[in-house]
Amino acid sequence: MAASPAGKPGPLTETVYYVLLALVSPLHGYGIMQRVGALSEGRVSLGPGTLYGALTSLVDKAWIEPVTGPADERKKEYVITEAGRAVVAGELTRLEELLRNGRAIVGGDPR
Amino acid sequence: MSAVTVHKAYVDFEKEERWLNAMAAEGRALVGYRWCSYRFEPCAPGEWTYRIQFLEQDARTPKSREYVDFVTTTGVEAVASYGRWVYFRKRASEGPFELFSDLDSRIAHSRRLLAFYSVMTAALAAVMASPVARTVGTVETRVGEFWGLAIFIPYLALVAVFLTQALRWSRRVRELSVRRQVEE
Repeated sequence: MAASPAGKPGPLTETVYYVLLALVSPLHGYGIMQRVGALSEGRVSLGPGTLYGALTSLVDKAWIEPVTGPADERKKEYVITEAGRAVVAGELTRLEELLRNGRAIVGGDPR
Repeated sequence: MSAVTVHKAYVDFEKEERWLNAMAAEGRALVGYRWCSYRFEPCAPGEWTYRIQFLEQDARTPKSREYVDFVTTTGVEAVASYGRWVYFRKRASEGPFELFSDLDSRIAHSRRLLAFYSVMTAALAAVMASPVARTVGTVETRVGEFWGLAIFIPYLALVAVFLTQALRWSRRVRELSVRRQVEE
């Protein structure tokens, strides 16, 4: 993910955005896949390979963290951090700009 | 229909994956793999979807095990592994099964295959040009041109197989990267 010159994160990928949203409450991998599927009404179906990579990089960035608890390593749960919430808030501002401009210019009419 | 073992060799894992899914569609489910040896058990036709992945490391390393364990908590079974290859399956009734859902992770997987086949091609070509090969070459000259060619030609064919795969994955990386410039 490219960082902008100011050191703020660039646009999030759809995978990262939805994983962050799903993790406002703690979930394990499969739970994230189901939650994202439900949020997007079945449009986004995360592959386990893609999700694993996303979780690894998000933990590295400290945007999410493993939930400490009963140590079943295989069912490790994650939750969003304050830093992660700040990133989502920044992304919302950007998405609102995209929507506002898109609606103003093509009026929500795809043609 | 009882369990069967099929001996078959694939270089192209996507063809191999298509074959495994065609077998599953006919009611034969892969349950084990060793080098060029596939073990099938009867299943309901179309019960399973198979996917093959090339891992970053050998499947027995802790890092790979952690990954495979993660995948198996998402309704997926790991039926076999061999070297850096792992064979997954998921019940078709639980929906479509893809390991990767975005271009970035598909590009990363393709790059891994490109790196592997490039190194293999280079290593085999290097052996051909090494002093060892020249010594063998001298022996070959003594045993005659026929035996020399009998060794050289299959070896060259092997190099060609790896080179073909390297070029194929290089093309795939390029195609996906072009798409990545406008979509995720």
